[in-house]
Amino acid sequence: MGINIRLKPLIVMAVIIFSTVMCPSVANAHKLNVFAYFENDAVVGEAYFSDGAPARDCDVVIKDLRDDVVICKSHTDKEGKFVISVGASKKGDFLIIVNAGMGHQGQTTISLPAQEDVLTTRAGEKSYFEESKDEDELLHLREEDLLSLMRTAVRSELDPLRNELLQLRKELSSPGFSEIMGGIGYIFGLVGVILWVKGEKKS
Amino acid sequence: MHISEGVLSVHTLAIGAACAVIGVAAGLKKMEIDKVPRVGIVSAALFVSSLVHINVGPTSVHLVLNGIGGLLLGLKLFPAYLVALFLQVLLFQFGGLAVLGVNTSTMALSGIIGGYLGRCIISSGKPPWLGGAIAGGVGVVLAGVFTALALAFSGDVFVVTAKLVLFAHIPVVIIESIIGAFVMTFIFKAMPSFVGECKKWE
Repeated sequence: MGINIRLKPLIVMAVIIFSTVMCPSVANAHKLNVFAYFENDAVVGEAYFSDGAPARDCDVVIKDLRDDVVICKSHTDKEGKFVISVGASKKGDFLIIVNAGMGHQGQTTISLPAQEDVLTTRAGEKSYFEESKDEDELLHLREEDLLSLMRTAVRSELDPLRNELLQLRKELSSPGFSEIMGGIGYIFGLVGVILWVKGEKKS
Repeated sequence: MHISEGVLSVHTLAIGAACAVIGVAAGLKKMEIDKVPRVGIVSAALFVSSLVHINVGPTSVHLVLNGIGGLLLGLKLFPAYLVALFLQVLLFQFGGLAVLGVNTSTMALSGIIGGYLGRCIISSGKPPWLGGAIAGGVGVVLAGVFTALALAFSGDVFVVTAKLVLFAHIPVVIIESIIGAFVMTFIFKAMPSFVGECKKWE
């Protein structure tokens, strides 16, 4: 009976730990993740804690990785999203830092493509529109208009995929059952090692 | 209340690491063989407690359990926290290796002070649940103050950050006080010898 009483707190602690691990609403709060991509001369992104909760009204800073200079400052909206215009001329690698206060900070790196390469036709190459302008009078679209239309179409096609990717990243960033149990296993193993070493010394 | 990597200045990290080394050494010195399982169980509870989260305003907070840990372990809370936070860095990427010292120091030191207050209350003859509740609540409040202090050393305005951290942790303070009260009531029923232990200076 005496042993039972001594074991009781251990059993209760173990029950608390296991119920915490098994509880479906359990998630962690302490890693701030940043997901960002480049779209229409702007950096578009989302910041969220690893339980999926949005990081609301947090400062966002974009730094140029080459010279560590802050290019833009902004903040996230109520859904943790942000759209920051950086201008078309920017290219290279950029660091996006989101600070949620209280020591919570997350960051990600993105590469901005050189816009000129994407938009302009290469020298010496004749534009399709220049050739066909006279032939098809009904088509009054300028090259830029068509490009922007294509971008809109591609974006609407890509959006669900992007959301799914973000969802997947959110799910991957929260600790899994095996990691939690692994951590507890390490601690119990460590207790065993210390007990063994101390026991040897004692005997 | 883990501080992320890259937020604190180098000298804050150094001070935190030095405090953690002293604390862990003192804790290990105090660790008798019969207390090792208790340290392990508390360490496991600390490791898991960060996974129970509560959303508050722009950020989310989680259970801390440092005051209750301090009440049960005293100085041995330092090694327990070091192990728990180290595994959280490795497995969950919470905090970071460079800030491990600061996070260990802020959490363990506040927990030890909270726990010591709880022990004083219990040894003075007050009901155990009160000691547990005070330890739980004070532990979280002090952890917030120490975290704000660490951030203040690195450029944040102390009063603003402290207010923000403490305001966000009001629900945690309440919940931890309740958990502390329950844990202590239970432990005193199961292990009446703990009263005698509380009277000893840790």
